[in-house]
Amino acid sequence: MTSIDQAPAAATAHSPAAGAPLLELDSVACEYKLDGGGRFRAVNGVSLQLGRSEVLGLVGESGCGKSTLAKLICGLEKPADGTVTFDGHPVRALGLKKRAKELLGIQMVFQNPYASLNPRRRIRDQLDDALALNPDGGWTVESLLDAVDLPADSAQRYSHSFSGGQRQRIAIARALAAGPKVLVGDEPIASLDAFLQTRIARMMRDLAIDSGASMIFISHDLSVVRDIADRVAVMEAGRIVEVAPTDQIWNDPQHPYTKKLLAAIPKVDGKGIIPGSD
Amino acid sequence: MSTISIRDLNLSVTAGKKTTHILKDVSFDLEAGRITGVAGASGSGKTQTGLAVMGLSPAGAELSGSIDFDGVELVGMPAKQHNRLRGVQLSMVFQDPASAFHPMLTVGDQITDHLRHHQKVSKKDALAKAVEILGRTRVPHPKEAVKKYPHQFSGGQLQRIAFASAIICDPKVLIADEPTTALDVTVQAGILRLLRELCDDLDLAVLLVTHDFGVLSSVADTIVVMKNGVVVETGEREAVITAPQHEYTRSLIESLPGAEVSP
Repeated sequence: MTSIDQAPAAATAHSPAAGAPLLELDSVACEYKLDGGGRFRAVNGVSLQLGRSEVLGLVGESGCGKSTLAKLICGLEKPADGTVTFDGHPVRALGLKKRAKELLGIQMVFQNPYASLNPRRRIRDQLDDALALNPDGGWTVESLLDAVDLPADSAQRYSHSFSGGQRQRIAIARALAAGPKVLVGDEPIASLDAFLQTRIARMMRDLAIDSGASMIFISHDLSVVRDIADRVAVMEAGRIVEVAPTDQIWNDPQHPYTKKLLAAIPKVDGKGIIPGSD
Repeated sequence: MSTISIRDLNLSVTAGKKTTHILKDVSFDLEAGRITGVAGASGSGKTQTGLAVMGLSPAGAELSGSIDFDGVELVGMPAKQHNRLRGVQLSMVFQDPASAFHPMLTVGDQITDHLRHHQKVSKKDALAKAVEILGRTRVPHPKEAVKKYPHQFSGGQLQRIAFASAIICDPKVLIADEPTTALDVTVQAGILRLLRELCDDLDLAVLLVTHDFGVLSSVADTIVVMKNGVVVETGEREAVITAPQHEYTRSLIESLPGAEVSP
């Protein structure tokens, strides 16, 4: 993966307020309308900061609001309350508008690699679209494919001829091509098998950090998050209940919910013990 | 004696002019009251082994060797005869509970369909049995649950319903293919506990297909490790996990964050 060295542009990007966090969420909330009236607060008063060249893992059970939070960060949902600030710029809901130029530094890798690539266009064309956003990034289609361990002839093919793991790598290459400062992965490994999961997650981390970006990595798989995150935020029912460095979360969890989650991971010790309780 | 005895099972699939060997001389046993876990990466043939027992090998598949089920040979068994075993004596639970059910039929209809077909019980009796079985797999409010549709349940509850459907005809063999992969860890623990209970209480011979050594470490009694259609290691749970004999098993376990293997 030598080609990573060719992408220094993102690393040296200027910032209006050096020292300030790259991404800041201040008491953000998001509500959905329910059928038959009423509102459901999927995200409730979340404050988070993401530093430069940092990998933040976001964990929690399904339905806790992880994906809604990712959408808020990308401007795909409108906050009911609070603000999201990226590199000094407020992130507003996109609606049907084109993404503002200063917000192009936020790029997302989605959960389902079968749905996130266009089936009717060659891989080259899809990567070229992203490269056009960041022509000074130093990437080419070939170097991107090489960075994600795919053969160069993949560029001429369509997404249907790739496996799930390969498609997810293409999606990662595409996000990388745009020169992100924040890479948001919303369960990017959930549809892959276990051995691939660890590999793809590590690849995402290495590529993001080497190109000078930060990453928010959302997953319900705690062991993978432990493997790649610098800090971990634990989310329960729309709220962040604990944020701490990864080692501290694992060795000395403070919040009862964090303790419960960790206790539910089966240990690979061969003892035949089923973890936790229902 | 083993409930299922697989010996030198070979499976090849021919598509056009190309023949792919999916299973090569696979041999292992499933015993009543024990969970046999099959581990391996995707494409290792672990799912195809389970499907071969069910008689659900893909079209154009060539199966040879032997699968002995209580003295009955399953390899080469006519489809009609296999149909009489499938869902009754041999049952299966799949990975994704959301796609395992028909979205427009009630849960009660779906989990009693095979019961009524095979055992000719009345609709009323079948529903009564369904309520009982849903209670056994700890689906909340079983009486109301039989009237509901799949979208009204969470993933973990649907998987409990899938287990209910699998055991409603009192099978001898249960094949669970990645039953917890789509679920959160906290829900997974509950499903694993259920699997262990069903295996012990009903004396089922369980084949648990999974890539997760954490899952195998908590519930499997015997572990079979497969690679590229070949069984590379078979042994007792603790021995395989703490002192793997084969290099491939060791690499699989070491690839897991947090796993500890004695050198």
